[in-house]
Amino acid sequence: MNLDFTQILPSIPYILKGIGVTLQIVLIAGILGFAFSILLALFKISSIKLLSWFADAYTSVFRGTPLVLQLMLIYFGSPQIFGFQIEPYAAAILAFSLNSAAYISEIIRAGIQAVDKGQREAAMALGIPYRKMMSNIILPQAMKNIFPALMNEFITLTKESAIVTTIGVTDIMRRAYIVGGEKFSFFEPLLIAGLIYYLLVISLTFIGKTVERRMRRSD
Amino acid sequence: MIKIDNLHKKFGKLEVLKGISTTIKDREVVAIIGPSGSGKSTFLRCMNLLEVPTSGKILIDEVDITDKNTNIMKIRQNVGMVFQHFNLFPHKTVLENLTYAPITVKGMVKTDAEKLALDLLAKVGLSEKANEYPNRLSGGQKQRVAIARALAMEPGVMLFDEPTSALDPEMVKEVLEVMKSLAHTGMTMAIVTHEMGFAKEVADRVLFLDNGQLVEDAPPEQFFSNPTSQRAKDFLEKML
Amino acid sequence: MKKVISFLMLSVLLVGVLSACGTSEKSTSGSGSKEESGKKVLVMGTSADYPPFEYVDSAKGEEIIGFDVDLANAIAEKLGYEVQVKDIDFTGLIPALETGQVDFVLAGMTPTEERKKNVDFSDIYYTANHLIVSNKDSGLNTLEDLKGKTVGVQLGSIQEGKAKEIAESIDIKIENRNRIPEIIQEIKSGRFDAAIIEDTVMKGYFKKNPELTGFILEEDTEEGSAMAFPKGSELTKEFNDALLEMKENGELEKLIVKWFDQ
Repeated sequence: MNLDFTQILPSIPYILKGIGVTLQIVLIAGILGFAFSILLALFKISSIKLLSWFADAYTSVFRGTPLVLQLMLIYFGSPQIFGFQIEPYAAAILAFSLNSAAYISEIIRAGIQAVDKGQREAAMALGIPYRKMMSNIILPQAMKNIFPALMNEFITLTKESAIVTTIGVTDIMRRAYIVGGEKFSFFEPLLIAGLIYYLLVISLTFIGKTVERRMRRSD
Repeated sequence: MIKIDNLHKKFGKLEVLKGISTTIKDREVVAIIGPSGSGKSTFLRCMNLLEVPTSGKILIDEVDITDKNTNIMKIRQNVGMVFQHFNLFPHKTVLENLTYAPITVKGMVKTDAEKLALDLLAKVGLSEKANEYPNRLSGGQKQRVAIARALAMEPGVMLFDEPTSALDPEMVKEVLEVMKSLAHTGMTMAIVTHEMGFAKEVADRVLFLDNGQLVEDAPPEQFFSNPTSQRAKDFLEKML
Repeated sequence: MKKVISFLMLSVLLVGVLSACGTSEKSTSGSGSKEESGKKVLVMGTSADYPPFEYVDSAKGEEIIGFDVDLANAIAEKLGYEVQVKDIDFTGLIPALETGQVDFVLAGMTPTEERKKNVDFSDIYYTANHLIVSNKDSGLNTLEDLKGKTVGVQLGSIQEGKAKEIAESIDIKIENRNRIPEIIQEIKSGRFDAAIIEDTVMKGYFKKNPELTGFILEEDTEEGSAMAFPKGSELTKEFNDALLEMKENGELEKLIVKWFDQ
């Protein structure tokens, strides 16, 4: 195999611009998915049967079907489902947040249940309302325990986001394809894309470890 | 005043409390003792509805807390509880543990809550630990913080659920001292305990539970020197 | 805890700023030509990895250029529309038409019977030859040489149909890949013995890969690229009329020379 990176060199900034696109999708989807997953997790531990049934069914469907399929359905199906077009970009964010919410809600549910039940009793005995108890007492403790798992999920999302190429979002991967097409070469742009993804994941891992260490300080 | 009338509690088929009736007067200190599994912790936890009674009534200051229309959150603000395993909030400092509920639940101004908290910490002898996290404290210190946390809500009644059972022996005394001085302030207290010496010294009345029934209800002098029931005699023989 | 939160917020902010650059770039990539208000905007779907039909000169910027883009703009100008180019993976183009994500497709797409079931096509605007591509040392010179060989084609492409036609008389194994660069790579790595690719597209690859060679696949019927529209679209006729005009006055020929004869 003879690789020639000099021809790709001028196109590297073009590929690099995909980082912004990829990160934006992943970040917004990550935050939305996380917020939604908390709601789902609370549904799951709820004593109201309908809510817990809904959350379980939701998780089951979104974990039980391929992400790329969900993405396709949301993007190409948007006129039928929502009655209007949605941009590929919005479709990607929607698909990723709905999908990751399913996974994260399971992590959070386990995290909540792992918090000592004495914490709940102490909060109740002080007359603290359910909502405040969850947001100020139980969830913060659960988050600390599940943070590494959350970070893991986020990293997976970053890599998985490459499937947005299928609906034409010009992320890192799609840009590598386009450059490959333009330059009639295959490996070089892909290797560059691979390197970018790898560096992204390494940075995320580093940020995660730093935050984790800071959280540990109160232990 | 806490008035308990024919209290029953079942866990599934298991009947843990089989009709208990008694009254705890204001400023009274009541020790609840009995063998393990006698239902004494459940009895105590019914008084702030951590356990919901199967039947019977509990009236705190004339308010029926088992009534569905009663705002139990409001009742709990007036009933402090200290747990065997402290249950301090590990992600909050000692000071935050004390101020969180008064600020959140009672809407107290932060500076006022902190002032109150520091007063209470001084009373339990832990002023210098205000900014520590709970995991930096010994068991005895944790339990004293837990007592201060409950007191920060300025409750009318304090419930203690085996407050010294999880402590190393050398730390029991410091916690009992705090409780003793609290009793001297005239706080209404219900204490589930295995500390017979403490019960004898501090309690105005001893409730002896066995097998879900209130077997004896007597002043400590009488109970410890001259118990009427055979079950109490057997129990005391083992304990003393 | 507060520190952790502010740290998190900070990193969120940083990334947000970063990505803001990303979107602003992105929005320009769509609209190929200058903005003129008052005109109706038509969205054109294409797969921008197929030079010289459509691609990005990635060293220069984000804009999608190529023969198809120029043609679309020329036709639109005649009809008083404005064109916004949207990049979609080739396999997603027809679904995008059907679901109304795009108004029309120009992507070097050949009308086939299957495709005609789902979309309408304009007249042919460009006819290309199909090349049988292989390594120089493979000694493949005629169709008969392909017997027992593995032949690669682009998934969903007209060449895939060609390969199936060939397979009816000659025993070949057909493999498909999503994109042309992958097919080229498979030939070089030896997994494909040959591939069927359009000659205009191969021109660039021949320059890059001197070890490759090819011969033209002779055809009975003339086939080529056409514009695709949603079923029943009124645009089909409008575009056909404009296309005819361009064929007659030589404008189309000029574009072909511009993009294919360099």
